[in-house]
Amino acid sequence: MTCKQLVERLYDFIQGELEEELSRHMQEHLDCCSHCVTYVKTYQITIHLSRRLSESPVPDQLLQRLREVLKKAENES
Amino acid sequence: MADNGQHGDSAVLTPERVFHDYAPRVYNLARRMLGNDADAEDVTQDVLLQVVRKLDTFRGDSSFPTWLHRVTVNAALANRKKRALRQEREAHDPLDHFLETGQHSNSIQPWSVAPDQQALDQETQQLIEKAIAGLPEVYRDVYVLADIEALPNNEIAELLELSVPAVKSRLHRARLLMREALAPHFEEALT
Ligand SMILES: [Zn+2]
Repeated sequence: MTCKQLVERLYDFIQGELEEELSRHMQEHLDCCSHCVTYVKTYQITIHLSRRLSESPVPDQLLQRLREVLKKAENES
Repeated sequence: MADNGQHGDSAVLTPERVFHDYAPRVYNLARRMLGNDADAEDVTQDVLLQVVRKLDTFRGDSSFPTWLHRVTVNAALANRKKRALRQEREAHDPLDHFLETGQHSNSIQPWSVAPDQQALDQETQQLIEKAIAGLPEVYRDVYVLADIEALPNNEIAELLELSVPAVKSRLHRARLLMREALAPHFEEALT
């Protein structure tokens, strides 16, 4: 297995959706390739960081606009 | 969009409650999909209006968050189409960065960020938002819905009218591009 092949199948590897044999090949490659070990780690950090993104507050002027629009819509109904 | 576990209680969805509970989610999803504050504001207004008009349909209904996702994604896609802002930016293929022998063509450096760091600092937050905004739209939509909104692949496939394998493949590319965009920052911080 090459580094490129490992990266190509990384999604399935991380999801645990890889066939057993392929998964073993991946593990063997990782045992002897520090670049790929780091690559896998940083790929996972990327996912974790995105998961922890917090929401930006709704801008005040949009909140105000929304309140007006909603009030109007309520009056119409 | 999780529903905060509130759908089971007796409180009905009022416009005020929708406003407080859901406006930030709608706004953030739209902003990340569109990469543009002004468009995101229009979409948020559009979606909240639709919600208020259809509120009666959802009294105490747990399907509300799913429906809201759908309406928001559709409104964002429609907004994009309307403005014809679709960048024809060709995504470079992150899988190009390999030698013919299949080895990494550049050295892969470890990152200084701790994966279990609790709250993201302002700078990291902005860096990630910027990287997301820089993704080509085909990848960005899937990335935002999967890795930020944490929707399952089958729901994303349905929302974006894609097959599940297409969602997986785009998500993987998106993650590779995100990793690549973030790498220089986190490698740099090491030195
Ligand atoms: Zn390797």
